Amino acid sequence: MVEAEINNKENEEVEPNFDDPPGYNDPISDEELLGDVLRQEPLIDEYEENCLVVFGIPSVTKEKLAKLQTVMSKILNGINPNHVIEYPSSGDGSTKGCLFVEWENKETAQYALTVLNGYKLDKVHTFSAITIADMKNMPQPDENWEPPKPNEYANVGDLWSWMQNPRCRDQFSVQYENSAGPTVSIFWHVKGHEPEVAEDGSKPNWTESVFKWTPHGSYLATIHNRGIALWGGPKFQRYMRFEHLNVQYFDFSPCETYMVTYAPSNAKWDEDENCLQLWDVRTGEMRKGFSLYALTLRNELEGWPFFQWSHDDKFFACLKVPEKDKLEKQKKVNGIAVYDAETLQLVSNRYIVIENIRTFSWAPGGKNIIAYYSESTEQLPAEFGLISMPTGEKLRSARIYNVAEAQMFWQESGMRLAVHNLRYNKRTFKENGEVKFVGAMTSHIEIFELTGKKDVALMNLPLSEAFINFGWEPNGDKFCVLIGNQAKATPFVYRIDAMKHTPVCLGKLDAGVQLNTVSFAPQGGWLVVMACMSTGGNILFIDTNGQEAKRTSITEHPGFNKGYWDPTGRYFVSCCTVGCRVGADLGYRLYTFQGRELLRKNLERMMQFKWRPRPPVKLSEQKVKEIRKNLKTTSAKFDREDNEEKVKASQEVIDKRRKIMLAFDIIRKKNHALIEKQKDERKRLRNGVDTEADLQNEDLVEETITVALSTQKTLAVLSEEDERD
Amino acid sequence: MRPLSLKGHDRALTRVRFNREGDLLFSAAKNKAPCVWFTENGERIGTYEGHNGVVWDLDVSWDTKSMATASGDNSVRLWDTETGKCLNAVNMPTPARSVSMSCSGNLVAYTTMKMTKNLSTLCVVDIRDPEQMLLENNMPMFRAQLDHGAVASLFSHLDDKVVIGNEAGVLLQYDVRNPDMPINANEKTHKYAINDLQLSPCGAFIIAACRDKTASLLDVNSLDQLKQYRSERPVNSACVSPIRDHICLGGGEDAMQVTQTAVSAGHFEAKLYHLVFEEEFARFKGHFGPINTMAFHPSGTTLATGGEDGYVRVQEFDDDYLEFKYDF
Repeated sequence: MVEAEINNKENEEVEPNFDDPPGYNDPISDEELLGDVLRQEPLIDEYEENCLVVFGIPSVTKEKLAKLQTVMSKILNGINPNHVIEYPSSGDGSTKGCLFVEWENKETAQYALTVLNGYKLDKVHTFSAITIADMKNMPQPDENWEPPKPNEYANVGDLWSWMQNPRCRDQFSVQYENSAGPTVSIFWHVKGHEPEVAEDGSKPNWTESVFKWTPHGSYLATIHNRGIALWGGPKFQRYMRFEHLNVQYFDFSPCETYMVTYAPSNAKWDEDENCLQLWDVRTGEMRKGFSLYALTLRNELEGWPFFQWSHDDKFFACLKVPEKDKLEKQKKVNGIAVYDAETLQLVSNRYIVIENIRTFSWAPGGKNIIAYYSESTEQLPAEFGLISMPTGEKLRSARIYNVAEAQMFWQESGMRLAVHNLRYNKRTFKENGEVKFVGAMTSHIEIFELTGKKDVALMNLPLSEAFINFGWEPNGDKFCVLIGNQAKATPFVYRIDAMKHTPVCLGKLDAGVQLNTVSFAPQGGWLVVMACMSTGGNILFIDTNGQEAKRTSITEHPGFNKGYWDPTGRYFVSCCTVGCRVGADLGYRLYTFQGRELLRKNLERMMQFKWRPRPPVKLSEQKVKEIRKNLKTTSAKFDREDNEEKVKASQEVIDKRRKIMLAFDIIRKKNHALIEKQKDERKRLRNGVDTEADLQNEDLVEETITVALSTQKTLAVLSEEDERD
Repeated sequence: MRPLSLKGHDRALTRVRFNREGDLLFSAAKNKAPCVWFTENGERIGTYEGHNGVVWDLDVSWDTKSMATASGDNSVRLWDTETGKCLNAVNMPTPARSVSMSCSGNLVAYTTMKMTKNLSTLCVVDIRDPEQMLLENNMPMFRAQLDHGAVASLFSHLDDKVVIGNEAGVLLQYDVRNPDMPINANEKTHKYAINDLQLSPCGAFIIAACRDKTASLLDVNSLDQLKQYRSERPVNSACVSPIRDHICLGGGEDAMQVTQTAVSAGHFEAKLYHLVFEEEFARFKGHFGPINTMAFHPSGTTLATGGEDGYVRVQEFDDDYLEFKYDF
């Protein structure tokens, strides 16, 4: 380099002046002179393809430029040492936070783009890169563009105010119709009393179709033509609005950080880039729009929720886009797309590949694990497996032969997974690809145990009858499996014993009635097995706390279609909502956890009943111990409070009744006085007989009438009566 | 006493009534012959033969000497209760739907249905006037034309005021001296057909049973609504207890839908409510179809109900009923 410089100097000194004299008109064009060289000159388009703009570079002062250059050179040399860097700087010499890199050809530039775009330098600096050609195609920003103004903070008060109820009461909300039209009302549940409407908690036309509580119960979400609205605080003021025209479905992530909304695209065959939208609940900002077509190759939604969330809101996932073969025919889905909720990128920039995947589901607690079920093919048996995220490591998989159908049930704690699989004897493939199963099917349950420190253990439980439903105790080690047929179902309660290879049966609760749903209380121990959408409407309450599972009670709510535990597991509600059966009594019935009915309420056109969920509260071990120890004194206190309340309430009722009675008695006295006046008139009309005279004062003649009950028929009717009574 | 279940009609019951003393029970059904029974043991004494169609309603005079019936064979008949002989038959152009006897037993009010050109009417005849009791009677002492058919009629006051409840849920009170204009009307309380009207035993209130799933207590003088009793099903009949501040109502899932419902979902029970507080406090099971008609025994401790299932049930209350008290 030094030598070259010297040469340069020499050149400057020695070189004579070749410049044309002023006014000289060159008769030979450049083309004639060096046409072949000029033709090699790169076009501006080509150049732009080779040149990248990288943003997100630390902005440094002149003094630190050298340091930045070494850092950047190191990165860029790693891609390809043949490049030229240009750091644009502002007036005082500090860099502008971006740079231009020129690569030798398009291919290198493309490779560099994939590396540099999204490159994380440190915590604050993430690069974004783009070729100049692409940048030129970007639309011009609006001339009048202004930085968005921060939204005014809507202070709706304490979002968890309802948790601080002195009597630890729970709220529930109901959508029904009253004189004001369709109404959503939020009630306090007061044991053994009429529910009380929460402050400002009842509004007509609050929502256009349905309402939802967020998973932690902080907000009430309502749906409108313009979008979604969230309401919270002690007076249910509006907290946030999310504008999404014609929104149809919405859904929250488990920690209520994000919300996903869906609106169908306007034209049926049009692709809507933003038909699925991901929102930040706290800021109201739309994070990203997704095109349904790009994700599924279809324009119609197949099911909701579309995205499945990990329990800590870190990831969300959906099935991978189906690939197309050479004939443009869709192949079977072969993977899961897992996105990082923070960056909105695919985790590790790739799909998780699982051939023939049918369904998957996140563990609802514990570690971030995905369970999947991939269907059997002609050659391969079905596979069930667990994948740890974000590493993508397969924790355990099991291949099972002859599986026709399967369902997965995670335990709420994320410690166990049960898989019900229906196995066939023989199957045949028809020409059109349809599969036909021949012979009887058998039901099995496989249980994956993630509790152990080492590997994931696997247990098998064959079922003696057809499977109907399954339910885990949310945090314990028990589960209930319902087997049987349409007319008669039998719930079995099992406990998983770490020392044994198969679950231990705690009891068979033969009720001899139709049942179809298992629902464990949120705190465990108590269990409800019910028959939703049936004429009988049986509800079976079971106690599994002891050595043996016992039935505490069985009740009937004809035609009910939904049953819910309250978030504390103290009460259970069964309800009949619109759409369960024509002519059924819409309304709800409330029971204690043991099945004693507390309240029965009929509501016109009741559409929804929802307990307000509670956020998870973790008490320290010590605190729990303390509470256990003081249970006797505290429960005595509660009993006293309950009693006081009862006395107060009944006094109120008595006062109210007294008033009603007084008002009624005035009318009654008035009318009786009128009637009394007409006594003579009545006597005259009845030929002078006083029919109101006391019967006892009359001379009654006792007559004995002997009646012979002789005919056989009459006897038969009477004996039938005997039996009935 | 155990409840009696009386099977004398092979079709749905339309009316049960006790006589003033309560020793006899009269029942009418959709078959042709009304029956009379001993209340005490449920023995049937006899039937009244003569009608040739549904007997929609019957009423017994205060002295139990005569009984009036309204029938779908387009006639109203007057009977000698003791002999079962038909004293008079008055023919109408359309079916008679309800009948009520006045305080003296001399006047009979009845309503007829609307059919083709013939409007629905409310008529009152004096049974002492042979002119009015002719077979082809065109000369009742009172005739009012009604806009809607009336299923229930009732002498509400001595021999001079009649109340009707029509299929549009309107209650009208007429003075028998003036058929042109009703003296009172109540259009607000009910929106659907009124199925039954009964006078409270003290004579101060009327209880109306309505298809809109409620029964209401009305002031006998003004027809103002005083109380309303909500049921989960259409109410076909309601009556007021003669001894306590209670009412009883009955009804159930529409007869048309009965085959599609479980018995427990049909609400075929008779329901007892407090007269003043409008709260339900007891139910009687028994019928396996809707209850069409009911009546309190004058003693207040027995209740007769007639159902779509063709049975009359006579239910005596247990002793707890008399001890049961509301705190106020």
